[in-house]
Amino acid sequence: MNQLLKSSSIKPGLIRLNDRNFNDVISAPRDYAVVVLLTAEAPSMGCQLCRQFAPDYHLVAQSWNKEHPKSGDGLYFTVLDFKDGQRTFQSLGLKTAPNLWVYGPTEGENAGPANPYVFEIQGVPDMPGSISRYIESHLPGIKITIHKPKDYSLIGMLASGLIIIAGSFRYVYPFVKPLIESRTIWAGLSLVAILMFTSGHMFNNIRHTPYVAGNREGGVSYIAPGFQQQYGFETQIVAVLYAFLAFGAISLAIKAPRINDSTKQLISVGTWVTIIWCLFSVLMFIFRMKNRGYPLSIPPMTK
Amino acid sequence: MHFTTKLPSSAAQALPLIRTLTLITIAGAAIASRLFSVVRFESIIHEFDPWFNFRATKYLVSHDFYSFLDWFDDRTWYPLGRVTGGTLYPGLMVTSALIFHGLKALTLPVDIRNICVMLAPVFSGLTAYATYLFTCEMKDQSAGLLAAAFIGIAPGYISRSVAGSYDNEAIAIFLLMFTFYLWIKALKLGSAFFGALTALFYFYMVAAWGGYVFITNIIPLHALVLVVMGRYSSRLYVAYSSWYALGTLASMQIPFVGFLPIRSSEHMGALGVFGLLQLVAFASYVRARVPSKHFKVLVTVSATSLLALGLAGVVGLTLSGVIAPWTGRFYSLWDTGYAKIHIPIIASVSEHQPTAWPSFFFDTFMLIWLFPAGVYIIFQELRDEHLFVIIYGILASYFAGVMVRLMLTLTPIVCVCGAVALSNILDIYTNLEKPLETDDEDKTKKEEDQSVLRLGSMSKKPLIGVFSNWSRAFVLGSFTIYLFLFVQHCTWVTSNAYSSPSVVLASQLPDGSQHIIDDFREAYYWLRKNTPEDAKIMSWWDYGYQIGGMADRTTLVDNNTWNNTHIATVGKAMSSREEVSYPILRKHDVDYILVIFGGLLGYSGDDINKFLWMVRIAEGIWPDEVRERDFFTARGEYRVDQEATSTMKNSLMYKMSYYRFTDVFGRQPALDRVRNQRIPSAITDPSVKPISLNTVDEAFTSENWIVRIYKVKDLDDFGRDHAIANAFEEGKRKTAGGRSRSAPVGGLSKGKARVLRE
Repeated sequence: MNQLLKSSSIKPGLIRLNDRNFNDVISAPRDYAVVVLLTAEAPSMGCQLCRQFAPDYHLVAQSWNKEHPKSGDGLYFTVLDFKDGQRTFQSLGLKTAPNLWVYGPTEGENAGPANPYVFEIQGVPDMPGSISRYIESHLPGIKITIHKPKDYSLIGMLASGLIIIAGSFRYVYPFVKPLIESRTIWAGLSLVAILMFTSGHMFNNIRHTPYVAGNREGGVSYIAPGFQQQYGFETQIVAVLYAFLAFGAISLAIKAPRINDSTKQLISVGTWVTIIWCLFSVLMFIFRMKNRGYPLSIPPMTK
Repeated sequence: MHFTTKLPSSAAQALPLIRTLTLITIAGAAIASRLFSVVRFESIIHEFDPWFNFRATKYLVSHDFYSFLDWFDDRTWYPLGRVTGGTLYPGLMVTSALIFHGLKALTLPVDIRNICVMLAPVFSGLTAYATYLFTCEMKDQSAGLLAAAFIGIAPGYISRSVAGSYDNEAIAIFLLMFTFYLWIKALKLGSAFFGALTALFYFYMVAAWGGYVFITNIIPLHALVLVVMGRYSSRLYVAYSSWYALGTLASMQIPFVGFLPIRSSEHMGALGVFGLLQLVAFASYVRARVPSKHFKVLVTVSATSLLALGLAGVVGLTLSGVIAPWTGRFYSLWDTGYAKIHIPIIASVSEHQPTAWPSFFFDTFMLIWLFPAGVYIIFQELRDEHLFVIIYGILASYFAGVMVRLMLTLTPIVCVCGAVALSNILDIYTNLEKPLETDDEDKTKKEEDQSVLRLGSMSKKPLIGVFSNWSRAFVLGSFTIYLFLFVQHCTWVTSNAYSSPSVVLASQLPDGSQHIIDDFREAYYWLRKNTPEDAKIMSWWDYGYQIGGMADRTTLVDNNTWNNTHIATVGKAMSSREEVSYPILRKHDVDYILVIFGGLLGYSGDDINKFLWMVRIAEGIWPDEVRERDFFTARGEYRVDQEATSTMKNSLMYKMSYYRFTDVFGRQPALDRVRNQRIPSAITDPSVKPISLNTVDEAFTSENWIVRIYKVKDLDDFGRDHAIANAFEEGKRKTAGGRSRSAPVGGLSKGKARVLRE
């Protein structure tokens, strides 16, 4: 095994297996434990989950390798990709990927069964942690500490950014000052924040809602059915509607009474009143699509 | 915007009277619109938590205050019990008890239940008044009246304050708005008296609701923003210091809060700003007295370094554990994925879900788009108190977006801002003075400073007024229609969405008349009358308070979800096979198990729909024994019909829910009306084995099957395993029925079905 670790490592601590050596590695009796990821990472296979899962698995393998650098100390992390091991996949009767199998030792003080433990990959949160916990719970005497690699580039960027800002503060400040103190900018930012939050942005953020979704007839549906759901596109429409309605109210309250021309003012007021009326009608129309039993509406959108 | 309404002096004298009458009418409307459930059903406590509050209030009324504070409740969380007096916010109960004793002293004996039911509507009338006062400080009295009317009937607030919704929020929103009003008043006047009043109502708020942390953080944030903007004043110093010092000391008198204000991160912001204000005050004092420029620099530098030292100290104390880090509930507001991974029990509560946009519209109607307009208008003048509205508005809309429940804190500020925007429009378009058209536009145009740091109008052009009556007619006409729609919307929402007690359900019969479904009370009353007084009832935690309040029996877990492991134990018992569950039930002395089942009626809030959370919470503690994956079919579906996994079918919860369910249907397909799936029936399909329960007996099933109660069997008299004992009994019964012992399996199931139908 240690030879393999030296010769066929693709990443530190991760052994690449193939049809030829797979059976040798897992055959009982064995005095070591092997974790096998049976996967199909080639883009042509179209296995999204395989590619999502790989980095988490690599992180666990690397973390183990970091504490046991020379030899595996009885635990080896391996990968068998479909393109190297088609025969193995067939003989194991595997039709889906990825699969994570943990073979415990069959000899020695922690001996266990020859057959592997199967880790359920689908729907498990907190990935690297749950892999390591699963391995620890099935292999007595193993303790894995996850070492997340530090993202030095981010730290570097932050530090240099701070230094640049601090250094240029004196020279830039006179130009930035009016921006920082501008009431229009602050008001604009506040309104954007409020419009974003009240149109359900946080819901999209937390639930990872799709932007649009397909419907049964094969078309695209922009508005999610149901009161408790929404699509990304839908919330943008609502945010824009709110923005126009709010701007209409602002125009009526602040802009229009400052127009120093009676005709112009009448046109402005008339336009904004019409816009508010129509958009409010649209808003209630969309709301009725979400909540079928809602009785209120104003023309023109009264269906 | 400086219209002076010129009224004849007699009319001006009548204004306060009209205002008072309007406010009284608004309060009346606020109370009346919350009475749908009392009129439709009866004067009854709603939902879940209110039942606990009601029970605690009854305890307080029948005992004295100190024994209430020392109350150790051994009838919940069996066998642990709960130090109830030390782990609740007593404000609500004390308020009701005071009203109760006050009325009694006036020789008006009112049942404590009616006081509890009516408390929330009455306080909503007070909230309308507090909002009026608050908005008056922001703009003027006409905006105040509008805001009061809005908050009076806005569904976002009604949702938590209908009659019977006897929860902390019922009085907390009034306290919130009134505390904010007092804070603004204290800040404006620089008055220690109002600062102390703020502290007093802050104390009341702390006593009443865990949401007091919102005040604890938003007032310091307001003060901090004022300092950063260079708007520090001695008024701010007086108001803040008197509020913080008195309010913190007072809040520590609540047993549940105790030393939190000096030991938890949620409160550190307030402490930090208090320190900062002392430094700023000192620095500005010295700067004003000392002429030397160098000395001024010295003072500034030392103040800054002191501040840095203080910050480092707080961080150090947090790291070393003297100051508790942020609690999970609070932390999950910022890191929104946190709860889902680490505290499933918080993530499982439906009111902790993020808010989809329809909820905002549903709860505030047109105010939701008048809200940003109001914030913009407030930016025009930007006085010190206006900053408070802006900060409150942005923060509250963020929180409301993250958690449905916090719509409640957003609604007041939406009403205030909406009222400011609308009253601005009304001010302008109801002013009948005709302005003169002037040509010298350029002369009147002033270059005004737009900086946030200064006060004054943001618009460069002067306000002229409205020329045409058509404009007035358009604007006033359309907004009058919107206001009418608003009232209709609020009434519809309140009547349809927020007035169901959820203890009693209503349905419509084909002829349109109302049919009351009263299964819950039927079952709880059965428990009260037919079980020994010390019987222990196991149910999912949602029903703990109701069992305690209505059935007066001991429960294992309840809605005060303080012990995750104990809840997970119940989850495990529900989601495991009988053989695994039975020892757990025995160990916890469970006498009866109560499950909620909606399959017959189509009641969707039942235990099978909540079942996955039981599994998840149990899995959090016993990942090897309970696995969520096992409850999904190979295709990842959650099914209860033929295709359900064997883990699902053998779980205690599944068995108890569907036990003898198919018998009701006879030869018809047994359809679960909630999940629209057909339950395999032994009557129509002889290959199906009917669900058999070995360790529990069906004791009671309510009229519409919503509540099913099972009695846990004692240990077998002969020390046999229950399954064996049961099989033996079955065999006996078969012989008695005249069949041979070697009857085929199909015969057994048929025989059993026959016995059941007798």
